Amino acid sequence: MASALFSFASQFAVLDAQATRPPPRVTQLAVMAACAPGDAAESRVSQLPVLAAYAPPSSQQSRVSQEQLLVARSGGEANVTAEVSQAMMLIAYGTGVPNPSRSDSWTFVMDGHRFWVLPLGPEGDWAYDTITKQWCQLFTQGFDGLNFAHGVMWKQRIVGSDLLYPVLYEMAASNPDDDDFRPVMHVVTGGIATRSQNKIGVSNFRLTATAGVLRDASTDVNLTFSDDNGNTFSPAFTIPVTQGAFDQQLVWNALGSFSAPGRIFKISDAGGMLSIYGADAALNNYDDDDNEAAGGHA
Amino acid sequence: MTALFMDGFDHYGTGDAGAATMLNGAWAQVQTHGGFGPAGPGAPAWGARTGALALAGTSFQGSYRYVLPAPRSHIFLSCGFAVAGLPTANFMNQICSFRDLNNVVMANLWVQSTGVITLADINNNVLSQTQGPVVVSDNWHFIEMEFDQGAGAFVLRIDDAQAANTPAINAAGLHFGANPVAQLTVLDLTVQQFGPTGTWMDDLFIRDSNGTVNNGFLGDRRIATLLADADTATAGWTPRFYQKIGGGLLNCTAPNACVSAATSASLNVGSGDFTIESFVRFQSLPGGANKAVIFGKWDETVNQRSYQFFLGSQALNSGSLCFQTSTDGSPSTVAQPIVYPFAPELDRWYHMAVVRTAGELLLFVDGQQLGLPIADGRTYFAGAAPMGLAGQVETVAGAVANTTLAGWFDETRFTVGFARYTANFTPTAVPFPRGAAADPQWADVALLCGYESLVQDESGFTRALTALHGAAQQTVNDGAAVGTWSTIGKAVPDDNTFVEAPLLPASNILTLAAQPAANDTVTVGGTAYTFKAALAGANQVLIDATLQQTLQNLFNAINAGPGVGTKYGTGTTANANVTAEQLPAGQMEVTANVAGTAGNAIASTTSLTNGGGWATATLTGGVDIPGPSDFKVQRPPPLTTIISAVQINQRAFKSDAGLCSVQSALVGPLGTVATATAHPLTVSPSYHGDIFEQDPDTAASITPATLINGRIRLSRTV
Repeated sequence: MASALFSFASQFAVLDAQATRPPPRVTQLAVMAACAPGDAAESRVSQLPVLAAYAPPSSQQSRVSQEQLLVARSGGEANVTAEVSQAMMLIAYGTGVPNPSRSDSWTFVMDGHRFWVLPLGPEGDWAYDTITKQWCQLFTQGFDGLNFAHGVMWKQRIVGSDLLYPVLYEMAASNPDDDDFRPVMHVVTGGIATRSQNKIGVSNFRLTATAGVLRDASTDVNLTFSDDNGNTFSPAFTIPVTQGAFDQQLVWNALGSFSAPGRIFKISDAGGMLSIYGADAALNNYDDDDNEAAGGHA
Repeated sequence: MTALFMDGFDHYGTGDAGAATMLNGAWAQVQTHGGFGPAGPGAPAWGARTGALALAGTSFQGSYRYVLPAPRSHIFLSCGFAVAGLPTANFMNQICSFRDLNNVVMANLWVQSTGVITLADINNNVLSQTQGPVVVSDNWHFIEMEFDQGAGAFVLRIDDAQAANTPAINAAGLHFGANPVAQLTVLDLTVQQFGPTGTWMDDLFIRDSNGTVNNGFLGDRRIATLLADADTATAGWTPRFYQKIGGGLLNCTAPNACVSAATSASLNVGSGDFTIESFVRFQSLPGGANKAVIFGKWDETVNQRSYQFFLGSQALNSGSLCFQTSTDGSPSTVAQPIVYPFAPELDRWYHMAVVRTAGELLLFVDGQQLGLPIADGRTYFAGAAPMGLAGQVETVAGAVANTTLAGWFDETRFTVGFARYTANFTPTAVPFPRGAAADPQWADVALLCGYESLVQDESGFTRALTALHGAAQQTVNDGAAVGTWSTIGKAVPDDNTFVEAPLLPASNILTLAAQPAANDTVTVGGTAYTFKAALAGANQVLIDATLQQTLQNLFNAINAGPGVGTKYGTGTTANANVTAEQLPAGQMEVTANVAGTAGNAIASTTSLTNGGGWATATLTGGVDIPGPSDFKVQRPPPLTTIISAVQINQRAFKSDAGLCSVQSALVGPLGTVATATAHPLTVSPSYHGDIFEQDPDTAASITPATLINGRIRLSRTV
């Protein structure tokens, strides 16, 4: 407003009393003028209202035919409860890793055994136990191999990375889960080889393991066997095991008989036993001179 | 946002009922074939991926129709697809159909009699098709397609888990019309097929080409449903468990379900004290002119009426709890000493009791006395009617239609000769005592049912109970010991149990023990109302001929109802802060106009010469919208490596008319909250799905860790 040079009075408003009985009683008269501050050459008023407070015209009677107070209120509609009877998460998920590739081998030491890991991409991850001189396959459910890449021993800790995400893992043999949600699958095989055509009966097969250490409250331990060198396997024979029950007996009875080439026993579970100490098969008509034991205990 | 919708068909239930439930969500048309055969979510005989969408049977037509959130010109769709048998002719079995906003066909995708997949126009003119058979019966096939209306292109991949092979169809220069895709139908059997047939779909995932992720071919994506399975410390919502006392209930939700026992002198109360009590949970309220009997011994057909406690419908008695008696079994002596308005919330437990003590009847709900004591010294008829629990049971007619209570009962006890409650009390949280050692009045207990494992009388009378029309013991699988999540972590929808977020107004009850004296006052909501013998000004209330009429004048003054100038003073305006409701027998209730705890500050006072007053000095019971509740969800499938998107589904509804919206959110492992759109609710249950494609914490891809360590959040916004 400092730059205003002119202002003109363009409107004068005079509010007159509309009734004259009793005469209007002016209690305040305000004159408001717009003016330019400073040294304006002219002051031009564009609006000059005169506001006059006055008494209303008197009435002989006041008649009210309707009087309403409109109240904004919620009333009964405020008594509303939101209710949710189902809530869930749907996920669109895939499995596997697109274009898995081979990567550098690495080693780790666990329980005094040094394992040499060969990540072979689509062929999976294989590990060689330099103590027992046996191979085993390492895999994470959903992946071709192990979701534990570029492993390295960091002092006594075994550290690796996720195949898909920027996540570092530490290998913990006592954890029954991979990635905190995949039950670790354990599969172990052992066999009894024979050249004999005589039928060898299997009265029972006994497993000695940490049966009470489980991921969930219970799980199943499955036994299958193959009498044709692993081409086909029997249906699974299942023993349910319970968490915390450390004295559970894992015994499969009356498993039929086999002859040459022998029998392969396969034990598997998901999120189950952490360690298998040994397995014993009670055999009938078994002659050590004609046979040789391969893996496991005969 | 690129992902538009996903469905695994695992959470609707199965069969026709499951198909019907689909209509509560994104599906606009489903198939429930009634007598024609099974439809809806199911599983093929050779095994499902998980629950699957099915059209299975031997002879019917139909399809399922999904409406996109908004039309899209360029979409990607993937699914699992299976047929029990290839169609006997071409153009009979449609995998999907692309439709515009007017439901006009843009193109149809068919599996033909040879196993070839064909894209055709509405007149079955072939637009493109696979080089040879690609569909084999009794096998799941993974199908992924790109439909580009704008570019006139269509690409189809079959069983290409990594989207790395040459597409089975790669067509361009097609004309799909001028409009974008607005609707899809799937599993369309357009001609009745006879013989072994059936078609299934699963793992439906629809995307558009917007955004930076999921906007192209992805390869095989499965849809897993991760139900809520654990509570967290963020727990603002209240669970409505089935579980009440112990682990068993009486379920009377089947039509006309109720329980009876043979008539017995031990069930007669004469003129003495008694206590009828039970926990009751209403699934629905009586309609028409019906009643929902809680307990009684009442036979109208042969005039053997004794006593009966029931909730009436609006048409019957304005929705009131009623206790009626007869002294000779005939209608001429029927009296209803208790008629008290009561509108129970559905699916909520109430402890209800009718007590007679020293010639006065008392009504209690949740341990709070409703109304004033009613003088009642009558001798109830010692008739021959059977006992009816949850319904009126008569000697000849059995369970009487339109008298049964649709709901649940727990801890039902009938004590004859003793009034267990004479003042407000806290209902039991444990089973009623069993045996004389635990209950001094054990000899008076004429009926006691806990429904833990059977519908049986556990009182000393061990009377034989008969469950009628499907009334049955129900063992619950929820409760506080299980967790709040058990009310929502359900694979099959059940709207009788849920979590709730209320917004309740405060209220108070005024009792006038006798007619007020002139110049006595009642003040509420900032206005003082003065009782007068003659009116002379605003906020004055006429002392009328009776107490109840005077209360009605006050009620009308508060609400600015009828009677201005005659029953209350001219110039009185409606109370801006409260609304009054009439109650029987010398009482009136006011409810705050503002919802929530703000109403709890509204003062209520009286100056009454002849006794009476407000129940409390301020209104009480106002409840604000609670904070959110977070729930953990089940672990993803063990084979999960990649998570393309997450859809949080909630099935929600509101208890009554009025504004009410619910919002879902994905909470990241570090606590960052990604909120979705708030969804206004209706009184009918409906599904709302919200898509998330980023980890809230990192704004990067969602990983298994996002789900394992994250949680879903429910919030009420208004």
